[in-house]
Amino acid sequence: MLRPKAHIVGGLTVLITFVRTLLLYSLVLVVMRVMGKRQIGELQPFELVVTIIIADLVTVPMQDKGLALLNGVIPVITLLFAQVTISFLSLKSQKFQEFICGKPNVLIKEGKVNYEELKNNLYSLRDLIEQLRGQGYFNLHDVEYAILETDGSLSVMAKSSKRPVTLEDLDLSTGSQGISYDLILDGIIQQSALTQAGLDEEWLLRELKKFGINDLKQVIIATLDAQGRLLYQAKELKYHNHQR
Amino acid sequence: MRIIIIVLLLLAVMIACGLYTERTLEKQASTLQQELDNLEKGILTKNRDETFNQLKTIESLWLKWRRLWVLLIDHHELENFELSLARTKAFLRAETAGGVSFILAEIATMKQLATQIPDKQNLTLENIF
Repeated sequence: MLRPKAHIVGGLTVLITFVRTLLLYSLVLVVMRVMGKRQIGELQPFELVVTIIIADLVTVPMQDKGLALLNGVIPVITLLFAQVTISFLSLKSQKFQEFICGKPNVLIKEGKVNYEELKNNLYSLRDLIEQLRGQGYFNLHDVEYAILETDGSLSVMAKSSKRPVTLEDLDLSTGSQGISYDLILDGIIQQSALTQAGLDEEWLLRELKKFGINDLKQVIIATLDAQGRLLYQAKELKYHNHQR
Repeated sequence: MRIIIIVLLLLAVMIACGLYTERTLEKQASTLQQELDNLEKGILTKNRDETFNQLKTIESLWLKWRRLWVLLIDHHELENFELSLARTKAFLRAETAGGVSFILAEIATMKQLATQIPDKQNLTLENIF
């Protein structure tokens, strides 16, 4: 016999593709996690490239049992190395970042279309108008500045007469908004949120007891809003609002 | 910073494993070729017992080394080698007069595969392009 007995539990060959897929999927998950949020957000072109390539790289070894699994693993790790290196160098050197990612281009400046910049970016007027419409600007003349970012998105600033009114325009003052804290999720106390809110578990349990909640598992969600109100929802689906 | 260290470590491990496996593959392929040469000699000298012993040696070496090769090399290439080995065994058992030329042809195929497989793993311009 030229082949050793396969060390596979069960012996169902259909599970080969199943196991290979799980292994490569786990690898891609870990790699994307290590690459970080900027990779998931695809902030720059090289990140988009990595996402596209990774998808293609793992597909073939997933399906073709004849290929060594390392044919998928090694390229993915290599891409991880390349992406982390480029990100690191971009952090250290602005010039390098400009070389890799380019610079933002001002397509509309002080209400006037910068035709040269449009041509340099192979961006037609139709493209520009379409993108502006996508952001809610149906009239090009309502726009003060439009900047084509390095990730391909268009950032738009409306003319002051066309933008939404703010409280500052009405000479109204407000206090600091603050954020709300999710203190309980799915019956589990969120310790970090409690600490950030400057509270402790005893306080939380005491407050909940006042409203007849003795078991945390009854609470789906409990939130402390910026005004100090404890809002919670118990499993009987009634939304409660109590002031701290 | 931590991520960079992890990635660099991963890369170092990958390169180190790559170098180790390349050397191991070359050594094993070279041994395989020598054993195939011995098998060829056995057939040409019509020494039946030695031929079968030699074949058993090649089979046991293959079984032992296959575990590493299967991780690194496309399975189709390994299957080609195994098919040639199986055919060689069958021809030897058949003992037909014209069988010798078939056996020698299969041995030549196996020798070529044993050279080719590690060559394909080397970092060369040819393999890159």
